[in-house]
Amino acid sequence: MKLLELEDLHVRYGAVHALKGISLSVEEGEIATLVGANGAGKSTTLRAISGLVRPSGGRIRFRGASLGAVRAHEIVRLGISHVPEGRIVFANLTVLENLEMGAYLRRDRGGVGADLKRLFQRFPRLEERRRQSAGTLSGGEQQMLAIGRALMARPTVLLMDEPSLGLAPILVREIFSVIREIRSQGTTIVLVEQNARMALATADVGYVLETGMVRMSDRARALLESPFVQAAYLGGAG
Amino acid sequence: MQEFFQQLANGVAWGSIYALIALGYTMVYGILRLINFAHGDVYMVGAFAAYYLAGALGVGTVRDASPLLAVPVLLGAMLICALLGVLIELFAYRPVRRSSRLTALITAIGVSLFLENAGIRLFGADPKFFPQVITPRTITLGEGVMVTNHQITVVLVSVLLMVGLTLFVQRTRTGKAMRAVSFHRDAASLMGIPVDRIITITFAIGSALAAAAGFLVGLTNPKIEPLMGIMPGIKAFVAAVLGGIGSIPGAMIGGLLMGVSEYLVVGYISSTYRDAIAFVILILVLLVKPTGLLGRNVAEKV
Ligand SMILES: Nc1ncnc2c1ncn2[C@@H]1O[C@H](COP(=O)(O)OP(=O)(O)OP(=O)(O)O)[C@@H](O)[C@H]1O
Ligand SMILES: [Mg+2]
Repeated sequence: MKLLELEDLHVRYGAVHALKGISLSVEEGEIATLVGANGAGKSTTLRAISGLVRPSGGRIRFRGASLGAVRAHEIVRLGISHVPEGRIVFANLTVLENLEMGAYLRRDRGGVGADLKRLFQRFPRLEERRRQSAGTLSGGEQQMLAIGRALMARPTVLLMDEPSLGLAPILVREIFSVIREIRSQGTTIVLVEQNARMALATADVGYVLETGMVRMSDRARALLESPFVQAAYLGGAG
Repeated sequence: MQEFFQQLANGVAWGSIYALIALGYTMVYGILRLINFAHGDVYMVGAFAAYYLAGALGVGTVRDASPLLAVPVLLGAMLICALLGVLIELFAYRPVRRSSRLTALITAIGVSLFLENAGIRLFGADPKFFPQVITPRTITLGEGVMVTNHQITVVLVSVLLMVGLTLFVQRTRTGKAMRAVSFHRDAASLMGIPVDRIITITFAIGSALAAAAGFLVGLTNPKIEPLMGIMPGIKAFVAAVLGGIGSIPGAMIGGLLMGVSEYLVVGYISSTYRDAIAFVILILVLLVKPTGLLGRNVAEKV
């Protein structure tokens, strides 16, 4: 079933026409990846889905219902969580408080506690630092926190914007294995990455964005083997 | 030495009032990066709200009214100003939230002028005398330092409110959400935090604290008039800058330091320069440490 569908989506920032008719769809349980150069519109696509920017045209449907007029904080309640570009952990809050904010809308204290426990088992570093201000974490720890924080909302769809950005190769591999784990637990993922090789190797479907448009889309394996993608996005990388 | 402790006691009492007002500036700045110039006028409205409530309840005017009635007077004034703060946010600041800072600044000045003139219209330009809600009494501490029970009330109520605010901001879900919103509005909304509602709550709390300051100032300096908010408003703003604007403990410390410096100037130099010290402090802070004592050292967001 199509869980998330974008149809001819347009976004403008003032005079900048950032998205010029993006169409894509994500099946339940899949990882879809958006790859493309700087400024292609990857982040803008995610920001439109999570309600941070208002599309100037087109449609976004989640489980068949339009997200057109739904505000950002209400979209979370519907089951879409967004790990933003640059992580943006709340540096003035502790690690634990950041995770509590991730569970802001949840009222099932027991469930939240159990999820926290599981998260801390998976990321012991975060547990060690739970009382520490999130601003003191390393880049990799902050990324884990940003992902954990989004998961605390128990999303149906997780939007991830360049989770590997600026991390050492060993941490990049760690992040990608976390991504696969999240999917294996049934969460659908939309992954934006500059590291196209790893993203396409991990994802089920891929979309290549260029200047606000979808240049190509296919199964991720097929894109990985496409001469065009190899020349333009995989040349020399990884 | 006696003179020093006497001025220190006076300064702490007066500084608590600055601290309460400064909290409103700092909370709103923290969350909206807006200097709410109308905040001193909200404090004025708080003093008048307390004045009329006390009159209605007969506190301080009717002979045998219980001093405990001061409590509903205080809470009522806080409630009225909380509502005023919400209205100001909804009708003045929200519509210009996406506009330039200059627009927001001009709006703030407009709201301030509006409240002052509405105050003159409604309450009259002449000073009113705040009723003696609590019968005044002087208490002699060691070494001949004298304080009034009013000053003690001011300090106690302020401390109580500040402790309450700190617990609220540190411990509650809404308080944590306030801190998250002040760090990054979009990231907070991605958590499902209703940013607009949190901003409204921030205005309500800041305005209620200003109302408490208005009530407390009525106790110690019973002459109230519609322009009474201007000078304390400026000084409390300087106190917030001194403490590091955006920082709640900073506003508390800044307010106390401001009150104490004023009274030390009064005691050791001349009361003529009492008002000047605020500007000296402002210039010094801006020159030496613009982020203030406890300010976050982050680049200004555009
Ligand atoms: N707030 C903004 N105001 C104006 N223009 C913007 C804004 N945000 C993005 N843009 C422009 O919109 C276009 C798409 O930007 P977007 O951030 O979506 O790209 P991206 O694919 O995520 O790039 P990157 O790989 O650098 O993160 C770019 O031309 C960018 O300059
Ligand atoms: Mg981006």
